[in-house]
Amino acid sequence: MTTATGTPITTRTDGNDPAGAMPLPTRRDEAWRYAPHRDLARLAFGPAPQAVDVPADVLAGIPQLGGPLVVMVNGVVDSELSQLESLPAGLTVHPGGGADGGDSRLAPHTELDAAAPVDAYDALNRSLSGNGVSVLVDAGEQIDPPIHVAHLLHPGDAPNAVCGRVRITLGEASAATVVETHVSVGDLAGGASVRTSIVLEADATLEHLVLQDLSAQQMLLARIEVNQHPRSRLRARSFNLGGRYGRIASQVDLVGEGAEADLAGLYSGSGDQVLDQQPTVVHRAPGCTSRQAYRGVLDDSSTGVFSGGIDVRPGADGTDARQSNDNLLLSRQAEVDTQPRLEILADDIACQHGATVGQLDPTALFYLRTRGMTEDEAGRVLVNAFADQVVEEVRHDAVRDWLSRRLGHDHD
Amino acid sequence: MSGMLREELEGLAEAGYEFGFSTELDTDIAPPGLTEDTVRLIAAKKNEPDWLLEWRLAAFEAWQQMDEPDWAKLDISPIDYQAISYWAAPTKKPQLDSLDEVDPDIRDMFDKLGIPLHEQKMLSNVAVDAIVDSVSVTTTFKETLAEAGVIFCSFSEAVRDYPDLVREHLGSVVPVRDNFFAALNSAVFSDGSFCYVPKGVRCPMELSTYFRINSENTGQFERTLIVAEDDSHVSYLEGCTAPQRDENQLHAAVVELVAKDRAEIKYSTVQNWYPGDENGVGGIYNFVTKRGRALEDAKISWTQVETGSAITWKYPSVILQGDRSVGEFYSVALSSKVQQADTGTKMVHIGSDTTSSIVSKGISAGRGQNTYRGLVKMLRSAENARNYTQCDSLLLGSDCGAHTVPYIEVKNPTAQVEHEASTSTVGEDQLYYSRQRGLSEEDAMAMIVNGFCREVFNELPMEFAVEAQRLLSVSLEGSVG
Repeated sequence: MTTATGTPITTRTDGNDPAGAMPLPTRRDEAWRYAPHRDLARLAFGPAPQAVDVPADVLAGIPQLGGPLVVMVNGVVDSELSQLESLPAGLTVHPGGGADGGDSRLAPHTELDAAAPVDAYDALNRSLSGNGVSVLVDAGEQIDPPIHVAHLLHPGDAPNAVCGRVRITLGEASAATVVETHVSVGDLAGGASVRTSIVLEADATLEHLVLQDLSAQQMLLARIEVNQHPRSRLRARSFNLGGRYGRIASQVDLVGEGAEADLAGLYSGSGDQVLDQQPTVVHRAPGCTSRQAYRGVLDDSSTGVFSGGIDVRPGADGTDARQSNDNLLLSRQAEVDTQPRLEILADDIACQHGATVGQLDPTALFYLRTRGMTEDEAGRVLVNAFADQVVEEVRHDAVRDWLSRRLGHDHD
Repeated sequence: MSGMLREELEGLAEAGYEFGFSTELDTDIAPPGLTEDTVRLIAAKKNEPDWLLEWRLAAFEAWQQMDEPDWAKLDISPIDYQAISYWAAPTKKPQLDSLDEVDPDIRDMFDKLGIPLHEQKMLSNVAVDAIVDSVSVTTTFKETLAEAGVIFCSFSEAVRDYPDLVREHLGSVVPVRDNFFAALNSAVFSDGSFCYVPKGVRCPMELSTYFRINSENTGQFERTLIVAEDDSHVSYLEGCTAPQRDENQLHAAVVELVAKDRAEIKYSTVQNWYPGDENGVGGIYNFVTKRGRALEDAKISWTQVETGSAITWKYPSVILQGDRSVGEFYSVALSSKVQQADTGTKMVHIGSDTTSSIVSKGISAGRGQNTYRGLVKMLRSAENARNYTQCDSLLLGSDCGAHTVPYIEVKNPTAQVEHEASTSTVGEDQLYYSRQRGLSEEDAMAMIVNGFCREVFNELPMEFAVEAQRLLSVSLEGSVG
């Protein structure tokens, strides 16, 4: 796999992106208030570096889902590592690089691209990521095996940060599962900006999973944009686990009447990790339902950030929107910053949000210890029970098993 | 929402401003503009000591380097700070031996507001420090308070008579560089109230100050400082109404509370500045910095009913510095017409075993926009700290907005924070049920809205609770009959 290497585009020297000269976000930007800006400033974005050797154990370490697999190394599809032969009927995967042949089903994504970038990293992504990979499901088709997009990050010296792009369209009344996994090749410092746009036509159903498990010095800036048409259903689960900074920002636009969005996530941090969730659901049409349920477990001096928005636009009557964010602090140095936002411009709605922050319940710990557990064991049981509320909701055994191993929850 | 209700809501937008009158008074007004000379002029007019002038000048210098905050969810036409006059005082400052000597115009104005001073002195147990524009013209009940050792006077008098107390505490809770509007206030504040409750004293009466803006084009910059020494207790009432004007008037107040060990300060506000007309013309711009510092076992409680002002930018806060200190915030904010309110609180937990509770009720009607913005911060030292927050919003109509922006920052694992919020409308089913029980639609509406606010009204002192309910029903008059 080769990619033309151009002059690295650095954000370090002038603090501006090449496309729209947008300044890098700072602490003063609400959406970036708790991000590790000093580390982010060390990212120098540029085109993907030359060919990278991917050791076999890297691919062996991701969930083995048995379905179509797209492997993207530094944002570029590696066709040798991908498994795209004998795709199920009704599924099309364009591996990018201009090979989508002007597929008309990608037009809505082009429209999304026309909107102004939300921040400098978004702008960088648009100028550097190219077409990326496109996953298209024909109307009325149900694709059973999960479609796996594995993002492998192997930063170079300069640039040390790359951009990736995923486009997903589900045709009318179709159904599919897409799993995006972010893992590292090696442990060099660096980062990736990955933008995923999702279009769900009327009555389509998508299960979208994000598994983030980068190595300790790497950063993921993921941005997921979803457009939902009438009665479409999104079930999104994110597991924000690895990296120095893991940021998963989703914007779900409910543009069609009766659409449903169900978002949940788990972030589990240790060391000095900063794990940042930024989901926003925008109700633009009447009769839509949304749910956000995020849970965080923060150990050592890690920081968990939740900034979730429910945005109800004029005319979105009959909206039912719920949001919750619960956090467990396991260490004296850990920190949680949570901001559950509501912005309501319609009446005849019901919106609720709740947030909690606390530590393990001492009476529950005591109870378990009277049953013969050590303090450590008892703590683990309670933490696992807390996290499992999100893990257990994953319908795919291979993903759930992978999560249990990663979280040290192996059940006997 | 039914068509019937919509008509009622239109009625709401048309409801007049009950207190829309203005009193002719001769005023001594400085020319518009703000420079170092303006600050010096104010200090000279007030015969202030040098240390206070220096303090003002430092604030002015800081203000010049600051930008107007733009993070609030407020759509404000730009304010020309050089077009505002920063000094106005009644020219006839009466030498008061008795209340009879108060300017009849002023007396008349207070009568219209329902605060007959002469009757209050005799009949009620409330001391009133009446402020017309910027200078305090009359203060009552001083003797009773003096017996208890409580100092309650205008800020100017306090600077003159108790300079050490003022100097020690002024700016100790809200420093001059705190924010743009606090810096502006610190530079040009005209007058305000000062209250000092000595050790172990329970203030024998509820202290009350009625503010009133009376001069067109004159920004009003009050400064309130309340110091409660160890083991003391004070309840302070602040209420505002203002005459109808077409031009926006800027109001940037600062309130500082110091509650020392085991002291308790209860600060209640009913705010009913002129909100502007149906098209949003006129109306007060209200930028307020209110903050209290609670030392060991102290308690600071903010209760506010905000129904007025075109723009409200206000976040009464408590710094829970001492162990086991308590902070409370109870708020009802109503935005109708084209009013915009961005209000909430900050609870900063520093000491261990500190607790705070926040109950916020936002009501949006007409084209009003109502935002709750709050911060709950648990620092590493806040062992076993607790916070409970509940913020509910009620939407009456389809052209208004309700927004909730809470920030929760927790750095201590033993701290517990709970936040709950809901946004809803008055349901057809609720109205239907009430009507089935024999209530008219408007009575049902009034009952539901009052019930929605009950938790907050319960926290208000008696007199204020009555006034608050009256204000709310006046504001909702068009919509509930």
